[in-house]
Amino acid sequence: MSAQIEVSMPTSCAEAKRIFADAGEITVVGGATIVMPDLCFGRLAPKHVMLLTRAGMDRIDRDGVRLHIGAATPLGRLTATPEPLASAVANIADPEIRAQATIGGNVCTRAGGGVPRGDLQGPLIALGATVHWTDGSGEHVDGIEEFLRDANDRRLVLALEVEVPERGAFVALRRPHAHGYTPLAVSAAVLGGELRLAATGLAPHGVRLRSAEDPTPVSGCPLEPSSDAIASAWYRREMLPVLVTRCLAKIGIERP
Amino acid sequence: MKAVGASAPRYDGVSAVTGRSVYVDDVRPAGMLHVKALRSIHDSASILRLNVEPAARLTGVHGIVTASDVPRLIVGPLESQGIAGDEPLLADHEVRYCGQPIAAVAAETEEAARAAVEAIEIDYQPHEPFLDVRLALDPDQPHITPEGNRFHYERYVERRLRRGDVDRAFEQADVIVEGVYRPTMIEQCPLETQAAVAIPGSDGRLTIHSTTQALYYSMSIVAEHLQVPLGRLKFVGGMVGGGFGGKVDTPCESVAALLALKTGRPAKWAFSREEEMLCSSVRAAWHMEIADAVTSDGWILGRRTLTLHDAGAYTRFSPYGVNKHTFHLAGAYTIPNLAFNSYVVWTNHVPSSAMRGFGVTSASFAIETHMQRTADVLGIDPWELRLRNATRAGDITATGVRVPDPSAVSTLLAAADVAGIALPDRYRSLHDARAPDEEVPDHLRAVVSAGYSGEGVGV
Amino acid sequence: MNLTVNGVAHDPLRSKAMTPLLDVLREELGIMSPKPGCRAGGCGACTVLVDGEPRRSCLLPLGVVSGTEITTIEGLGSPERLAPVQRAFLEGYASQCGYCTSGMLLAAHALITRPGAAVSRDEIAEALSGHICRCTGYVTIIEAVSAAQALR
Repeated sequence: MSAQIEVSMPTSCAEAKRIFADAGEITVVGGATIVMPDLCFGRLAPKHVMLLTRAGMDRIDRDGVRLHIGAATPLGRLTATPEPLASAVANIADPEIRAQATIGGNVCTRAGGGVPRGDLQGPLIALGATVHWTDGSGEHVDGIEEFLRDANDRRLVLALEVEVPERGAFVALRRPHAHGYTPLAVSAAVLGGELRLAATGLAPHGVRLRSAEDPTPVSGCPLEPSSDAIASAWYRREMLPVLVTRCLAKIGIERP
Repeated sequence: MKAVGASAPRYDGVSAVTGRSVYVDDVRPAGMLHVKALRSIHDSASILRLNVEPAARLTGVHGIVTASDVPRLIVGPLESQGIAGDEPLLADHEVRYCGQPIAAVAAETEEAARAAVEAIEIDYQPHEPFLDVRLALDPDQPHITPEGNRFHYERYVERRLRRGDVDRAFEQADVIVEGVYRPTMIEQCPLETQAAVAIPGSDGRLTIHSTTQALYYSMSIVAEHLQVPLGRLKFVGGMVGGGFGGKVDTPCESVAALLALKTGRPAKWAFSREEEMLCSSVRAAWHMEIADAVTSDGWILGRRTLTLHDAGAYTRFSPYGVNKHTFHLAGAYTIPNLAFNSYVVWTNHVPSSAMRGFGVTSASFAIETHMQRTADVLGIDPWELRLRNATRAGDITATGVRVPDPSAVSTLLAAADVAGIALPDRYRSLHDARAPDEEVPDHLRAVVSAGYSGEGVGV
Repeated sequence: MNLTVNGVAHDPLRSKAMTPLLDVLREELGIMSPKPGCRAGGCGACTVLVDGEPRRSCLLPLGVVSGTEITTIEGLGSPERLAPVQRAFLEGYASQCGYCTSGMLLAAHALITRPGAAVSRDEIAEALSGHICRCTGYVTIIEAVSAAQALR
């Protein structure tokens, strides 16, 4: 396989940025867990690939209440991060996949293949994470919601930053085994006294649940979710208020 | 009997744990070509035009086969039982299921084979598909075949089983319990996908390594497709990475064989996981309606069933599976009045075939769930309901066989034991044979050893 | 690109940087024990040890693992000298069709040879949770891994 793909393997973040800046079309690979099957089955045919495994972009640095997480950090190393992130990570695949897949890959992956992706977008939205990225000409920092909304492909994610919350929780529809994906999950975090709620499984990307953040009874679903092989749109709509209520209860907020 | 109860190591055990077992995909003859297939993207369509020339011209492509390259295109798996085949190895003028293979390419690499498949030109005229077995008896549905959507058994359309006087049983019943049971389509999903490697020999023989579950059966099918004597073929089995009935229908063999003959080189066709999940045979979906005529104290006087079996686009082994299904619809119980009607229905789904317990698992699921339903309706302990109606020594089964030593009662009692369920003493005292002083109710007299007269048994 | 596989150095390799490790092993090096169950990381039949850690070889580009030490079950033990997990699987009938066995053995081996206390059945199940077996129902496998600890 792999006829004539140019492969770059930077050994530093600076080199990665330089390669990205100079490249035309380029596919950036974190852990390769999503890209490899696409390559293998001919769904992706990139001309230029950059593998970030050796670029030293997998550090987790703590500075007071802020955590700076390199984009190429494998999920398995995030188990000691604050909730809702830690539980969301444990809910993804199995130990072997988690040792290889990266947080950057999870945040940046396109929805597709009939399977919800980007399980960590919800927790990161709840945590008010910021995304450090470059387009080759300079570095930017965006809130994650803004980052996800922007369809600009020409961005190399360098790191994510989160603040350790006062309280945080993650609740998901039960995943019966490691080969299933989570059809619906809700994340909550209290930062600076303010509640933030987010969900994955309602839309191609993780979404903020602003309406549920108000101190009013939990009801309804703000979006029209899709149906897939495991859960129908109806089921997701029905279960969202249930998960929101449970998630809030986990951080000590009782709502009818 | 030295082996019974003894623990013997698997003869292939050491091989399995040291990586020495050889599976078909591990077989790598020199010069081996890779095979990929063009598959239908429609549930139902006519093929208006097929042009493989653009693919044949691509670098690395050594051979392409279509329907016209198959010496005998349609070979029925049940021909020896008088059931004509209906499925082409490669589709010719029409496709009847999404994923049906139409053409196959042999190329130097998998990538080249995939590119060649994409280069094949094909024009379809899609038709409205027939996808809901519940509409099997509706003449206004799209027809899979010119004759309609139901396979015809030798005497009736349906497989029938009749015994006794079901109408009278239903009149006499205290309660009629009805239920509908619809187990869905299942993919056998062996961990190893289907594969075959065909290797032309210098002596004119063809060696075929296959994942088939039935080596000699496969040999005869390939010999028929290729129209060669059996002696021209040498089949090699080996470790099969799971089958569960999913490797009974093995199109890889004949197609790889044709390409090996055409190109003069070994050819391997191994299904991708996607092909295995979407295009390979499945366990059928079933629609079963059961109505039991019961007395309020839990005797089952009669049973009526309607089964619609989703055979998918082609017949394959469905008539055989539905036979077994029908013969088992009374279960381990003696029910004196029976009317079973079971239909093999063609739909534009993937063709269904064998999977463990072929035909019978659906019957078991349905009738045992129905027993629970009946127990609930009557307010009777489900153990009592089963034990009461369980087949006893000397009873006549649904298919007219006198059973000398059934084990329904003893098995039920043992199951209760193992499950830690304490049954009342009056159940525990039951045996597989009726006690001499045990009263036989009137409705059972025709089918128990106490007074079989030969009446009322028929198929 | 280079790899050391079961103690044998292969340098340089012909395979390219984006070739999955599974194909490097099977196609270039003729090491057939890791299996292509799905080629999408979903089944665990392709798992090998990369510097002692279990990883899906169908998902790893050669470029990522170049320079590492790869272990497959051929390198775990031989018929004359079976590793504890191999012996335990053999004696415990933890293999039926055998297709998942390679991946299971390597993941199990990594688990029970890591430093620390003996692992519980729950921990075994969690460590092997990415591995599908369609034949055994998993119980004999978990029991075999548990028993293998005692064989060490």
